[in-house]
Amino acid sequence: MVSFVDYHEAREFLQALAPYFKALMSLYFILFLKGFFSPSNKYLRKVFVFSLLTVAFFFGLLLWFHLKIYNVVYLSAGFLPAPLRLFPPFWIETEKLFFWLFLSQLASLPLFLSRKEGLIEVTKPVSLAFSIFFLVVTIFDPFTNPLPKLHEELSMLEKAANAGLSTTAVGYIINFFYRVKYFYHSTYMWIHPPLLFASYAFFVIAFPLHLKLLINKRFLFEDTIENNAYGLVALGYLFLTLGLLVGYPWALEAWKNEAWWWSPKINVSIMMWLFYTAYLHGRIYRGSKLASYSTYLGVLSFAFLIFTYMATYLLPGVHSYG
Amino acid sequence: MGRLRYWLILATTITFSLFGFLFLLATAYEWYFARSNPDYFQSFDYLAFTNFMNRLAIVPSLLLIILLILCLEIRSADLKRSILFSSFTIVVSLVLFYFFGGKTAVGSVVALVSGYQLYLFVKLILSRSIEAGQKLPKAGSLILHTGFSLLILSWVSLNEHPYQLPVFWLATFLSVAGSIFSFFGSWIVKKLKA
Repeated sequence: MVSFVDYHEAREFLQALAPYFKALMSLYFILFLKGFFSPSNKYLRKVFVFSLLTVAFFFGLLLWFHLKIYNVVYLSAGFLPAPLRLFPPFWIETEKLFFWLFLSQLASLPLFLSRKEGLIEVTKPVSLAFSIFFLVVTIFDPFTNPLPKLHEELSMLEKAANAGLSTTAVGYIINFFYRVKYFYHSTYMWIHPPLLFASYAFFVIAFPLHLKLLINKRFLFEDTIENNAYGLVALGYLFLTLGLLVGYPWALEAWKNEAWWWSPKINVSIMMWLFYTAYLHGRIYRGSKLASYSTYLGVLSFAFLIFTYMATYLLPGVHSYG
Repeated sequence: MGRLRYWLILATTITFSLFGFLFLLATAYEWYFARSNPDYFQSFDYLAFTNFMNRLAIVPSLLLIILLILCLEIRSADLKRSILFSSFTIVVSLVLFYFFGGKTAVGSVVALVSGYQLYLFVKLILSRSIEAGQKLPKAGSLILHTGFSLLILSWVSLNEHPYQLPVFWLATFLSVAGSIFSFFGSWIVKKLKA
């Protein structure tokens, strides 16, 4: 008799925490919004540090939940090539937005903790971005319904494991075993998405800075906001390039007999990369008209990033999970 | 010369953006047809479309390679030599394109460019007139662009070839290492000196 009772209890515990999570996230939405309208370095630093600690605490709870799954979901059977064990990644389903927020906070840590003069110009627009991000995470939180698709799979697995050696049950377990091996535990799964989320983390902080530059029509050579925006995009671009490239051999392996190269999600990902590349090239002539175009490109590239993120759910094709 | 550099970068920026829009158009086209045909991605129409797009993408790819050669002047070669080399490359690519098709043309041009960049890289490293603070970003830029050239080579010309993945990983390494030195080279040198 296989029982995942500990897993179910852990999941229910997370669900019980959902209202507190939502309340705290909405609180940070308000606090960061207030920080945007009446900014002071000290206030923003305080809000940032507390929000980071809160987010880290909830991330710790997710880690505990994943460890629980690792300890509980264990199947060993003669028809399996090896024992089945699962440690889910943090960048799937309902957890990916929260993971993105966590990385964004880590990425902006040097900005908020720096005591350099004039950085309030940078942290103020970033606090607006965080305010919106906290609102989004309040709506799409990872606690109300933790990892719904995986939960469905685990419930089916539990049923199959208790159904004796029927062909359907064995078939399901074997299928799940290979899904764990080639999807959840694939080496690429642990490199490709986290690298992309790391790049998104830098881009999400750079976006409000570009927006501010456009609104203020400031395209100066030695501008704090412009320099920080560029530095963030350059860092994000590094992760984006590596992340996208690592996806290539994975695609070759996973979609061996499928035409994936021009499929919609791949298209929009390459498009986003091309626009960030265009931004970085345009920015070579800082202080010129080209730099102002490049700022527009910075904003446009982020719009395409959001589109690329949503494409997984909205567009058809091999990379679609909608 | 400063004006020319400006126009070259502007042309590069515009080409990248237009190339990006090409991918957006492709996505819109596929989305439109997939709406009325759920099996569109398994159909011959889709296969024909991908073949068409592969051919179409060669144009901006070649344009970017030519711009890359012209922009080499910004990094280390002199302008006259860059114009000469790019004119030579344009002629070679057109001849190869006409006789052997886009795949061979792109492959040969990319191999030529990579070789030329390697030569410039060695020249830059051996040069004593450029200070370290400038040398590292310039070297990084050369490495990065060599990496991207090799990526195009591995995708376009080495597709399904046994060397495709080794070339791809080498190109990935060069692209990332080059990006680090190109974007943060001056900062790294400053920190090392401090």
